Amino acid sequence: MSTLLIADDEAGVLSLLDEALKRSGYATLLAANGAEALDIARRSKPDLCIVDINMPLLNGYEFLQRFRQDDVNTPVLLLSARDAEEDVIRGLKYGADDYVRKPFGVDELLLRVAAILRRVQPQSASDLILRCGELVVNIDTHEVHFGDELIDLSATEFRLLEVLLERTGRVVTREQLLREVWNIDFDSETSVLDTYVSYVRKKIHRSDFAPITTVRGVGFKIVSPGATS
Amino acid sequence: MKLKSKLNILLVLVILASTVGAATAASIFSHRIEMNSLEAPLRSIDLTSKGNPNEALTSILNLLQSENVDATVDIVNLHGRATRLLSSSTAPKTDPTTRDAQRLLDQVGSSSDVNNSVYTALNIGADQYAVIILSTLQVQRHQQELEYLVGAVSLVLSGIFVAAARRTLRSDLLALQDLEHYASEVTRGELDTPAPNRKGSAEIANLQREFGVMVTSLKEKLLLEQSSREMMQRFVDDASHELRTPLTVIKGFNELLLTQEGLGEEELSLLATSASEISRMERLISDLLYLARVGEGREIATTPLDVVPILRSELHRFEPLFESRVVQINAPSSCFILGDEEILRKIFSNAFSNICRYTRLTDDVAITVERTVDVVIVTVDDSGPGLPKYEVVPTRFERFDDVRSRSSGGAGLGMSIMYEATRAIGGQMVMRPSNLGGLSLEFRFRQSN
Repeated sequence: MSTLLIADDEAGVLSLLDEALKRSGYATLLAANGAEALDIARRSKPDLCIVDINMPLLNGYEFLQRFRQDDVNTPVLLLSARDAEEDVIRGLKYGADDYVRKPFGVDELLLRVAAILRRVQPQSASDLILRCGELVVNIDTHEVHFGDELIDLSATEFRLLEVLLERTGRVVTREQLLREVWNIDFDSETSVLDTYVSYVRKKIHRSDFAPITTVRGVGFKIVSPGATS
Repeated sequence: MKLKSKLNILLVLVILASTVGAATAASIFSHRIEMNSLEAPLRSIDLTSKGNPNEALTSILNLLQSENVDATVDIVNLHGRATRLLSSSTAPKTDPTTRDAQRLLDQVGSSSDVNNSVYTALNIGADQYAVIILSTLQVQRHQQELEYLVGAVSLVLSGIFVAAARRTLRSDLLALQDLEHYASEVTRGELDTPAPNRKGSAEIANLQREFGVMVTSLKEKLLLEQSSREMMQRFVDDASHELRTPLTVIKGFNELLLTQEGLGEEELSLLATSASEISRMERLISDLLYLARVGEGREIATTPLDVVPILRSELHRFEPLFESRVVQINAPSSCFILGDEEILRKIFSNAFSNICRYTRLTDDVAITVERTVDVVIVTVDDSGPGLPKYEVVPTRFERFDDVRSRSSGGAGLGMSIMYEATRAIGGQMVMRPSNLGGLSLEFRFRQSN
């Protein structure tokens, strides 16, 4: 289990991240300011630090500068309420590994955390494989198998399936799908999503296997066979 | 024309006029005097007591001799026949006597200047006349000499006058020049240029002072406006940032709730509604922040860039949303403008997302890029419902079709963002009814050579 340090002076953000990360199976350490964060980070050696830029005592940049003096390996993800380009560049220059702007989606943050941890931790091949019953999706090779059968998916279909599988059992809203698969950052009346979902269903669904379910008015979710929905 | 040149022309005219005037006046005056003095001896000839022509003639000749008058004297009778008694050394070589004397006899006693001569006919009795011819060549020579003299003197005097006038006006002219320079500096925005302070006439001093006062008050107003604009911007900036943190928390918890397992359909739908409203608020805040950044007369640094690939790549991004529409694009392979890539992407993506939001799924879209002499015009047309009214400057938060935009989640800032963003890179956005039946958005960008 990975241990994550969360540093933010906003109690709301702290408790949100705490809850979200715990639900995803991480252990958390909490700090309400930069100095406390530095102290905990040095003492407890977390696997990843999530640090807000605007904090009292030490801000995110100052935390980074001092933390990087004796630890260059532990990844740091910065949170900021500002979206000026300079802020991003400054953060990356001081040794941040990634940058998330407020207001962020919890989902997005979790995916980034997972991605960073995948990068820095010794990878097992299973990290790159998503499964659902007999369906096996290899993120690395982009190969999709159902049992022994190789299924041919287009790039968009693959990405759609990947986004859904990453959150197996949870609803993925139409808006999230449009943003993550098509890079469209607003809700729009479009049939493109339904069209593609129907393509993917046609290719992976079998008479006794239909994991992609529609949540009417909300989005879609993948229900693992055997799980109760 | 410059004031200085005008003044120079005026002064030259003064010199010319005064020289010519003085010379002419002197010439007329001297002519009269000289002619008077030329004829003066003749006037003292008294022939009233003389009955005998010979006596009269003798007294005339005596007088001419005693007065030392260089004249030609002819005797003429009524038939016009002339006998020359005396020949002048200066008289004209041609002999006008007979004809002129005849004419003179019609108006006896008078004289006139003919052929550089003055004729005077005196009745010496027995129907005979002594015609005395005086040469005026001398008079003319004197007159010409005088003209030259007076002209020269007047030239010198008016030259002195002009020099004096220029000297007097010089400081005023320089002060005006300073003011002109100062005004152009102010126009260029160099409000801190020190105001000119050159000595000049009272009016110039007043002008300088009033100008200084004007610029000072302008400076104050600008500072005030700038600081209130900065305050406004800072407020929007701060407010937006402050809103982002609680919004993150609300959004996050809503997302956690929405994605937890075992929720009923109704709960899911309620949470999804709340999620979509949260997204709307999020977009609104980011739109407000964007407007604060590009709006309010702000200018963004521009670089020459090719607008066509940017337009095409934004269009490509919207392809999945446009798949049920006929989309035509008519553009050259490249077209350079002065702009900023991020801003151009914002403009085009706003134009396209507006089409997604406010038109039917089957409405057509036509995009053209054309180059004119100094601008590049990008037009985005649709066959949608268009706007109820076409304003020059879009009103913020105005939604053109309430029912439709509410259901499509528009914040009412899209038009303003496109308008301000286009203006921020020195362009212009115009909304008008499209030939396709809907809205035509026209963006005019500065061309880059």
